[in-house]
Amino acid sequence: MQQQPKQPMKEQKNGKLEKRLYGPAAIVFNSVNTGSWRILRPAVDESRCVKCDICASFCPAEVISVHKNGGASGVVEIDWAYCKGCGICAEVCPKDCIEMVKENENENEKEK
Amino acid sequence: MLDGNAAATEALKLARVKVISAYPITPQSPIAEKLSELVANGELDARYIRVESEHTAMSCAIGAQFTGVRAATATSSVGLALMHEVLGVASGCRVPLVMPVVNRALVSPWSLWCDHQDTMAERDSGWLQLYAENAQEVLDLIIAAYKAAEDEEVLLPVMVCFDGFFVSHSIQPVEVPEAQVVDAFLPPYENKNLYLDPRDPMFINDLTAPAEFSEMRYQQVVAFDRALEVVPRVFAEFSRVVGRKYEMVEAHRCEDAEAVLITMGSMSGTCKHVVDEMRSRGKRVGAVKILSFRPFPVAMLAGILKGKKAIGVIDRSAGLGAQGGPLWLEVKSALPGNGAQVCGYVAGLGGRDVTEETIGKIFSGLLGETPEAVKSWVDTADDAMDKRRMASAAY
Repeated sequence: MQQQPKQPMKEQKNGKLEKRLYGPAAIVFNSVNTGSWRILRPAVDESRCVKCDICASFCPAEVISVHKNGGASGVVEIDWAYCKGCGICAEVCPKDCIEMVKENENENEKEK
Repeated sequence: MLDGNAAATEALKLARVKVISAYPITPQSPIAEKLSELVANGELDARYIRVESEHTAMSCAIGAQFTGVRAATATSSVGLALMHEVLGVASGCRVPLVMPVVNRALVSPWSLWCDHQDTMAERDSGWLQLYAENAQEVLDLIIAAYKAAEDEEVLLPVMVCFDGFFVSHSIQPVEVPEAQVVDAFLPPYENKNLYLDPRDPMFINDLTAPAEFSEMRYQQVVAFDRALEVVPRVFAEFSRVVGRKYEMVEAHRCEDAEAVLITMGSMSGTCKHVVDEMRSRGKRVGAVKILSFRPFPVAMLAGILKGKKAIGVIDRSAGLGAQGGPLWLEVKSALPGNGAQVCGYVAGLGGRDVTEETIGKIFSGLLGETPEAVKSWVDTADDAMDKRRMASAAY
């Protein structure tokens, strides 16, 4: 969740003076990326999607964009940096075309 | 001539604190009031933040100190209790604040008077705790505490605790060192750890996952271990510069003592006096004063108590639900299996005087001179259970 300088106190690194810090402090705040919390992620079967936008309107993180005319990232675009994998989109989808899959599972492999 | 509160104020002035956020509470109020006076009349170059609670007082002090200056606050009793949450922020973020705490009972019953329960309730808060016997010690320990707290090996906050009214309002001769002497001992503050600087931003006190929490706590434990070495070193330097000598545990005529009594705070003076008086009558007794309760100087105390068979401990707090008072528990566990009898006593609660008579009674018991064992609540009245009676038709 946080990154602390690993170098011992007062060691030169890249011309910068670095030192060890004690206590909860962060120079880089990794947990800003809430997508890193995800265990399950939504997988959309776009062949059955009717572009109704209900998933996007229910998404508590507002990370779903539905492109009615398609887009570079497909019809249903999800911002993976912030999707926590809560599964609400899969629950509310009237066409049942969103499935929650394990985060580490490869979607392409599953399709095979 | 200064009382304990004035001595604390002088010490904070000598430490050249730059931000003060204090909320008045009896018997600490004269510290908050005098500091505001010093700022208002220009004697102290500092900002005084008027806060609405002790919770905010501590929060402001922490934030101010992160900007690279010494920040001051002071409190007592329920004020310290209201700071409880934020005390952990100061220690966990390793902010080397030094805070005078005037010991007063916690509620209920409501009391304005001396009792150690307020600071004992914070004994695991991650702050060092030093207990001063008199006004001179208040001044000296605050100045020394800054030096120890700010040491890169330590970086922990310190409470300098002293007894409400017995020390805080007792006017005593106090030698105040020259400002340049203190300046040489205590150079201007610089942040050695976390800091707030818009040119070099840093997140402080963010959420820490289970993967790292233990490690953060462990860092604090290591700092307390180091403080056991740093504090005596600081006291030695203080003694060279200022001339007065302090030790984390003070032993008074203990070498050949058959009975030793352990105390903290103002009652230690009375205890030493009783020891001298009993020695003049040929009784082999000794006194031990615990100056540093956190860290608890186990090895030093065990050395002093080696071979002693009769040891008494007076707690000025009740230790409700425990096997005894917190000081007694510490002493008892510092002496594993040495065959000593360690008797715990509770005395001086809620402002009650710990008299020569009370201490004499304990020594008599320890020396086996009393026909019956001295009860542990040594100064409590026999009719304790009958203090309130009410007639009512309902009964």
